[in-house]
Amino acid sequence: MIEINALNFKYGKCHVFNDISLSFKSGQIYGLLGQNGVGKTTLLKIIAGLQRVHSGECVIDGKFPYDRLPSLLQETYILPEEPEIPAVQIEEFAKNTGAFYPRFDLNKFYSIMKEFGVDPKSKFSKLSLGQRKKSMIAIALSLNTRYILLDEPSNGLDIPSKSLLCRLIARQCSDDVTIIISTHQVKDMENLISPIIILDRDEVLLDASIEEISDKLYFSYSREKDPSAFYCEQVPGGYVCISANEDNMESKVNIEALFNAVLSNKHYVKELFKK
Amino acid sequence: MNNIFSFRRFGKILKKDLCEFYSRYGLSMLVYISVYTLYWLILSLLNVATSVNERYDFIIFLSFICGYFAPFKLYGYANDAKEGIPYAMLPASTLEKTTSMVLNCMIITPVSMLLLLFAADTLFTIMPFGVFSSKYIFTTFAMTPQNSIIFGNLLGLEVVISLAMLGNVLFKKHKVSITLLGSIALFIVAMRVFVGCIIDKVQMEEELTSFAKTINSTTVTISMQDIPQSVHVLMNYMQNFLTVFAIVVVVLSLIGIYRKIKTQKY
Repeated sequence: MIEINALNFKYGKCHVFNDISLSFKSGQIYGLLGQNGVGKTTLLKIIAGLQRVHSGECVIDGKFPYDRLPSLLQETYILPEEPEIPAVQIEEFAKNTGAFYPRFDLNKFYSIMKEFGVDPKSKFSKLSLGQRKKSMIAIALSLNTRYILLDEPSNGLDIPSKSLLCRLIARQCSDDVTIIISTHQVKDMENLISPIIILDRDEVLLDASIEEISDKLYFSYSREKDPSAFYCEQVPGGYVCISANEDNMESKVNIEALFNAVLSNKHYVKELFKK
Repeated sequence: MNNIFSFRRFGKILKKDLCEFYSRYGLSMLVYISVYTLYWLILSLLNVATSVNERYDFIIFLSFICGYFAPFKLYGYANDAKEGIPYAMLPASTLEKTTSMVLNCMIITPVSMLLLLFAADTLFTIMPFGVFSSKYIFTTFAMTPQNSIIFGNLLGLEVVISLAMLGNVLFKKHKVSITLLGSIALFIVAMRVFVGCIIDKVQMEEELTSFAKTINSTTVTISMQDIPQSVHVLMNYMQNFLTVFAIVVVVLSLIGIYRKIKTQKY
């Protein structure tokens, strides 16, 4: 379990997180959303131990990630938005890296590479951004770590690969695995991520599962604006409106509309989801 | 699980580093061999006689260059915001990563380079043509042992490499040039300290002044007997000082490298 308590972080004088607390439980695929520059990547880096917190703490299974202990590192993998690896064969890199991870599955790596249609014998430097991403996803998933941190994993992928990515991530999820996906491409991940965490400058605006969201919010689609809705967004053919779900009605959560609604009604949403 | 040092993990990281060694630095090493080949070829074509000592000095010079650039080529990514992430996330302890880096840069690289250069030299010496013909470095050095010179050269090589390794993890941009300037500055400061602390303690003003005059007079040939005792004392001081200085620099650099790898942010 990943626990973040009263975390403060800043780059120089620029505050990124101010006293934020979050917890990430096993068996979930978290969606980390937020505008550019709110600190999604920074949060992933803090969890991975690549950045040190200014105050507060980030603890994974009782260990501090910044200590970079091998026992924790072999359970954590971060896939950066633009991955860079040495100019060696992907296969060679996967084997050399996989040797450090106790549950590395080389056959799984080959199988994912095959599904993505990338030759494992290619040199990393010779591949396009999308192919690099696919290769790194294959490595990330075949290492079978308990904590998988993915920064914009669908960026640069073609449409079939995006669906494949979702299937692969869903397949990867098990009771003892925690996956955190930072993304702007919410449509790509819509049926995959839950809970959803929306970050804003300095704070967490929303941290709730899809179930909690649909319990508290009602998403309606109509030709006209719903006067009772606190947020309406024009979509082709009408409006998607979000209102408080006072009558306990069921609706499908539209993450993109939710994200915009949360950003334009910060205090209201925070109050509504106060635990 | 031992989170500080495990021979199994160390073996894995060393294997990984060695696998990447030739793709990262193999070509550069080939260039150094080519430079030495060119040196032999030019001297042979122009028929310029060269002594064994000059050849040895040139080999050492190339090894210094090779050693200096090795950390930047082999581990230049270590503190890079993007490329450094897979390295930082590799499940090995800082001690294992540092030890592998030290072994690769300070032992494997210079030893391979020296062996390759000496092998090339031997090959050129075996050849019936060329100016190296039949003048083996090894046999010449075996006849007149120069242990202190060889020791000094190897220690100097380790100092240069350790400073380059430190510069490589300390600086993110222009690391080669900043490290070079920093190393020169450090050497100048060390010499100033040496002059300030040691030279005053040696009573040799008059002897040195007259010896300096002798050296300046180009018509006089100087023999070992002409060198005053105080100069020997000074040379001894200098040698001891440089040895201590080199060991201190290497040890401090290694501590600095370990510390920087441990606390590097990405």
